[in-house]
Amino acid sequence: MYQEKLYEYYLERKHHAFRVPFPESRASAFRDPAVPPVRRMAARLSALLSEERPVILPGQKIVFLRTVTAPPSIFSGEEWDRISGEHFIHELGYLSNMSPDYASVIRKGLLACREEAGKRLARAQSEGDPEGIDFLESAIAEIDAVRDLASRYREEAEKEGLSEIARVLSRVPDYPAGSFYEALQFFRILHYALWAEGEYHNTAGRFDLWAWPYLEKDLASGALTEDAAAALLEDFFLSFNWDSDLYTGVQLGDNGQSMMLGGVDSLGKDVYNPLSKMCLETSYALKLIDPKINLRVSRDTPFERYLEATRLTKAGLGFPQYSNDDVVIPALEKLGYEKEDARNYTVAACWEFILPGVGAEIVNIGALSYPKAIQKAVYRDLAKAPDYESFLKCVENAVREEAEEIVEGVKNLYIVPAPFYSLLMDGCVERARDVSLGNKYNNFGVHGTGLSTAADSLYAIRTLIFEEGSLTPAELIDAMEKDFGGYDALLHRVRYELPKLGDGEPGPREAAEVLMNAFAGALQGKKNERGGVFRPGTGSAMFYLRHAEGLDASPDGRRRGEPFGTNFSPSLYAKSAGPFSVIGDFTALPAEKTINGGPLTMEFHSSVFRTDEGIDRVARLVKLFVDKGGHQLQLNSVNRERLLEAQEHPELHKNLIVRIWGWSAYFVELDKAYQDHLIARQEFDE
Amino acid sequence: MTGLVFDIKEFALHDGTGLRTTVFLKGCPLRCAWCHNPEGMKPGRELARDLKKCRRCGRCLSPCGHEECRGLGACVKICPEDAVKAVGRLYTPEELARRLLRNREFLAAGGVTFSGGEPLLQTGFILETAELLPGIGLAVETSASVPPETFRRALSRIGEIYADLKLIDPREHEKWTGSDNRLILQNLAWLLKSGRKFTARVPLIPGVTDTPENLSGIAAFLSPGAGRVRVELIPYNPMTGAKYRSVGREYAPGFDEKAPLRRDLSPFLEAGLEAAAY
Repeated sequence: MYQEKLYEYYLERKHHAFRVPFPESRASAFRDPAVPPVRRMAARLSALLSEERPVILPGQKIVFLRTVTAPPSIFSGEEWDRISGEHFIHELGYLSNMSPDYASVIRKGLLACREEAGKRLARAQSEGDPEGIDFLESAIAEIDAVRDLASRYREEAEKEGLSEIARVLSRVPDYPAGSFYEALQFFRILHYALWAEGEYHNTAGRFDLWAWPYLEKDLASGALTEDAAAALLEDFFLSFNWDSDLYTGVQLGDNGQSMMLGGVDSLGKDVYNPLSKMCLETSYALKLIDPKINLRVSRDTPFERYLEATRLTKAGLGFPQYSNDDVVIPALEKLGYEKEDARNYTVAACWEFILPGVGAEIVNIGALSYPKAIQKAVYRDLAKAPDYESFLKCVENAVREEAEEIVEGVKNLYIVPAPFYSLLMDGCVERARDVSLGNKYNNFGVHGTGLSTAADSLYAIRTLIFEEGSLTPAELIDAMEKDFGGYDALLHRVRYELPKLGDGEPGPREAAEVLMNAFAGALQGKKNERGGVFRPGTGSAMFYLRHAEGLDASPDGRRRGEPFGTNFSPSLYAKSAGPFSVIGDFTALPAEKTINGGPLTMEFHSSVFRTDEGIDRVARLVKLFVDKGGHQLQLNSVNRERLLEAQEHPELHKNLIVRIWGWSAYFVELDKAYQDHLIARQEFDE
Repeated sequence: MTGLVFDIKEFALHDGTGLRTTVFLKGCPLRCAWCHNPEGMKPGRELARDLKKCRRCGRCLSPCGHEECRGLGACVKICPEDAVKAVGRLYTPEELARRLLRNREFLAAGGVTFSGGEPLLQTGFILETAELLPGIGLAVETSASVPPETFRRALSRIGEIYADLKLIDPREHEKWTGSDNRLILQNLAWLLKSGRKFTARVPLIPGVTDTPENLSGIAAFLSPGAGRVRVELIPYNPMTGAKYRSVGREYAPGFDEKAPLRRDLSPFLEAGLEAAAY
């Protein structure tokens, strides 16, 4: 490690000492309901940044630290109640889970952005476009607020005799970055500003794609040594962590700071470069929850790269998560994305595929519960179904009804304006419109939860009711309602004896295929109010708990209240036949039709990674997953004994990191239900 | 023909090269005091009760009439926690091959290992199964405590060999494993003479197998294999006792489980053998 002192400074959270609360008295400047929200957002950001005082930590190279906690909302409670009563509000209402185009701004400089916005403002004024004027004036005010803080940081650096930092800040953010250092500092400023503006799940995007040319030039000219570059990168990675506990998320750690490495560029050329490898190594060295590392791979990915990636898996962070270009790119094209855009995909906070700069999508607008559809079909239709095929039609109908309910529920969307974010999105300044109103792509994504529970249930119904005739629909319904009370033998049969998805048997796989096709079919052709489509997915997010809560016991033997498996994985208590069978089953399913995102998730005991041999075997497994056409894979190195121990003595395990459903966090900071879910997952050992 | 299998483990890391599935065959001629697979000893199906999961509800003790439960002393199809199970499942070679070949693409990058128990007690079953696994690399983990003709017949079809050599002294061997090492030494001598590569594994049991005399004796015995034979010292698994207790068996191994282990590779290295300790 190069930045050891700074790293220790972080581990001890010493920088928290600089934090002060945002002075409530300044809130009046942005809470006047007569002022358009976009202007109020600019006023709020300006107020926050003017309250900030520059703090440069010992040995720090990439500066900008949050010292002021989040300001209140621009809306009064009353005003927000009215807005949310009239509109569909996604999560917190702020823009989230998108991928800004940092690179264009970093190549241009904020002064040039300001000039562009100024020219466009003149046009809006001459054309009499008040909405455009509101937006552009807000964006310009925010550029100035960010520049002002940067110049105060520069002055502070000068005062402290930190000439290198001062020199970098005399270039960025005003002018285009001319070096790797400047590019990193510029990124930090932009990313900081997005969080400060109030957006969340602010992803880092395809870092190695745009940042490598800067590093390559510096290495070639001798301006940077490899060690100096690695030190900068550590500092840069730390910058994602300083303030992240102040950021909004569903849980601490779920902050969406995903970074994508590798893959092809918009022309189809392989991106993976020395910086990609450095990122894997830096993440391994620091073992921090941010940035969350993803890696794009394909059939053409050399084996060596899987080895490099698996060495990072060993760290136990749940990094990298793999996405397979061979599956994802064509599937996105089928959804209507242009090839050049599809090739440029990255992931949202967790695993949803998104397009930097051009996508203004809500990739997690809803979640379909497969087991709920099964329950509905069982209670309503099973007794009347003459054969399995007829019952499948009923299941498909139930899935369609669930899907339609989600689609119908998403009307009259309102997103809080995001003028600074808009500067980092293609075409917003040109159109003089905030990105919260949409962009080139405006699709909505819908998760699909509990696939395995549902598939195993369907297979149990097929076997016991339609093939064997050993169970009647009335008995099954009674058992589900009574949580299998009085049905010991049935419970044993369906829960422990019948094959499950992940066992490599065709039955459950066929059932899963039916369900996924039904979901895809149900959303096919549905348009949202922004002209986008609905994308079905294979993710679960936290719905593996929430959707399971309100459900009766299910026909696969899942007891009432027991959660589903995470994402695209075997059910939680199915002890599957092993990693080969799990990968075999899940790569055989039609994920290309449900491509919103959501990985097969597998946990391996940490001892598997102890030797180079173990690393080699895991890397081979990943390669086979990709070669067999799997779409997304999440591998975790875990140690159940250690998790149990951490539950008992959290104070001794403060820095223990685990992967939840699409993000990594400190185990001891998680709600117990999420801790327990992790502990219950099947762990493949040596 | 059928074989009695007590576990099938995909992605086994220590049982041979590449991506492997290990098939554990039930039944063993030895009774090693430290055995960590006690369910592999008896050559028949048997009952296993997981006492950590068992809630003592007694459901499994009511007569059930299931064919699968006959002779086990309890019903294995009723436990709400799945704590009562039959260990050992009969497979025909076709069934086992079908099960393994489900993962054909994985096994092509590695293979199948037969372990146990003592797999070579079911050599006929192994060889018939092997016929159905063309192109898949085979390995065996054996105690070598089987008749020489069985040993040779099996190894004629199996490429990778992992053979245990626990104790060089016949009386010590008998004391700790219930059987002397005559067959083992005979088989290993043949293997050494055959010129084939193989891995010899020594379980390191504190005060029993890790003594200087035993390790030097084993090294001397294996020394004709210098350049071909790899020696692996496998440390005693301190979790063994817990495993016995969880299935309600007693575990009194007769040695000090907590005594420090001598992971001494020097006798092997001095004999020109490749050696590693785990």
